[in-house]
Amino acid sequence: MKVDEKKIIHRDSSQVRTKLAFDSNAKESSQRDAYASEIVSMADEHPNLVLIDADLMTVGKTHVFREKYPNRHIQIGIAEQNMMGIAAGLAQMGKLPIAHSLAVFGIGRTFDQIRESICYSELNVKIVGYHAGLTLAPDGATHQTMEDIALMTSLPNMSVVAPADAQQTIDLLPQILKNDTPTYLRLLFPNIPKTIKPGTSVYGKSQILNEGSDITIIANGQLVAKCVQAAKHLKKEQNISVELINIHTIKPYDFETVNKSLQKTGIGLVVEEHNSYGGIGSIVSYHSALECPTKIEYLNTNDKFGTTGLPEELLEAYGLSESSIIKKVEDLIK
Amino acid sequence: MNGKNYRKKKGTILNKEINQDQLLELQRIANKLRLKVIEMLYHAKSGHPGGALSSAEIISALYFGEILNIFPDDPYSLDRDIFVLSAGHYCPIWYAALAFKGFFKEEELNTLRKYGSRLLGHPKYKSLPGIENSGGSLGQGFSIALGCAVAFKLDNKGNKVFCLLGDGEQNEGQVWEAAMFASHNNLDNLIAIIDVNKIQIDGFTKDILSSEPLDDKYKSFGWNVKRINGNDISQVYSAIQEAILFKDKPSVIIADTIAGKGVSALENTVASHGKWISKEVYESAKIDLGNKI
Repeated sequence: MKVDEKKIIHRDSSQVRTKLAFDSNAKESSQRDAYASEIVSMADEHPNLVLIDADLMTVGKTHVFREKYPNRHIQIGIAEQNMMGIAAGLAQMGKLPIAHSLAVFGIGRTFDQIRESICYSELNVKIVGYHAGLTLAPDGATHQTMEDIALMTSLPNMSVVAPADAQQTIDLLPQILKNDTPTYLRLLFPNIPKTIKPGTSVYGKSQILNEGSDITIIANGQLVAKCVQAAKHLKKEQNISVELINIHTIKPYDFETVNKSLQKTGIGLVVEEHNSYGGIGSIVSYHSALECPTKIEYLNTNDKFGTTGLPEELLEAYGLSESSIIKKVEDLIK
Repeated sequence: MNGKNYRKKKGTILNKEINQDQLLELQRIANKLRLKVIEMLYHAKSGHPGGALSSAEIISALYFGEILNIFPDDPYSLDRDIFVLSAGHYCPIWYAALAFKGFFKEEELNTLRKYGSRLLGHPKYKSLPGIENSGGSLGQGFSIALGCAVAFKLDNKGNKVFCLLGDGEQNEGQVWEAAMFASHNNLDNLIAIIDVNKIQIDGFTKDILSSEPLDDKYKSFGWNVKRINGNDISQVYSAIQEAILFKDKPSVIIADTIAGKGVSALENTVASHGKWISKEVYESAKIDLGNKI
């Protein structure tokens, strides 16, 4: 039978051409750009890799992959539910599909499809949600999501990964692809200061970035960088010794590392760009309550929708800035 | 059937010639499937007879008319054709067909819906050999079928993907996302079959949310459309053969059927969608179908 590959794969032509190359020495980098450049370099190692986009490849920059591997990228159009089903079908036929969208659409709109077609069927589909959390450019609440971690961690078989910076995104990506579980990779919009040392990120293992004795701060995403600065400030100005843990792999959750630290310091603070319900605050508390009940405080978006504004303005407004973290720790340690 | 060797070449066989005796045999198998479904649902004490009975000729033609190239000894061979049941609640007839075909033992059929059974209330991918999708939340199987069809295209393989949907299921938005994608991408290896049995849970589809005219809708979505009497085995068989040969567009067979077909107590009733099979209905079905198998 005659197969017209051009029709199935490469019908549209308008593409924004952008050169992407991750610079590990740059002071700050975009997780999305790092992902989009790194995934191209993984194509040969994973010959069954197929990327899928729902009319957002020029936003997610996966068009760079499409230009190099036109037969391994599928444009779905603005139809996220169909995208997840197609991803499931591809996985059933032995492909390794990665579905991309803004996190709010790729996770929220398609929850039922991810649940039944992917997780229930135990299919190896990777989902990349970019512009997650609060700090999308000023598009406002409709394009932000502080519910995605709650939704995805609630699904049996699903793994959830939220890297702290671009380097960590790159270091975890090969580990995610080698793993055969469905996985949600949560990426953020802003450029994030270089925070994580290359080669130090192990999938499934929480990461102690700073050893300390007075308080355990637990964070993920770009707020890890804020916590690093806050910890430095607290040590210098007030001699408060912070143990900082980065939970990049949210599920499976490495509770041993966190609980050990909580037992040592006796007090915790969870900082996250997510709602209070169902984020890492909930997960940390659930597991510590079982094994080592500890006083834990929280900084999160506190059951409120986001709004329009620049990332730094929003972090300040929602109490997630470096100064908010410092103030919270000072109040707790008093 | 001897697994892989039962077909000489890979891909769907284009068996245009079928004689009257073979059609009668397919009709007999359809009725045998119907009676088995009633027996299974009687033992299960719950389930969905309406669609399982209305689609019996379609299932019989696909599984027993040498249309699907499948291998009971190697159920997930990458050389197989794919059948996706998007209307997951039709699964009792799928289970029965797979058992009759030798994918697993027929004795297991009466464990349907029981705790610990592999015959789950709605299908789960690979829960039994030959099950090709999880289904229950409507519309999802259609997209899964598209994914399988795309995979065959990417690998330059000529295998076919069949997908059975219900007419009530056409209410789901995902169905139309999938319909748009399939024609835009010329997925001519995809054949959708819509079992139009005209009922959904709350009433007749014409009263709840009509999806008609389905033929015009699919034509306008760029599909090759054929509307048939889906309880006429001859029409079902030839429509599928025509669809297999059709090039450059996905095909949809809109099969008008009778809900609960074959069991007079259930025929054309809204209640047949999810009706419990009582001893009386089971006995009456034996009378209705007994001399047709």
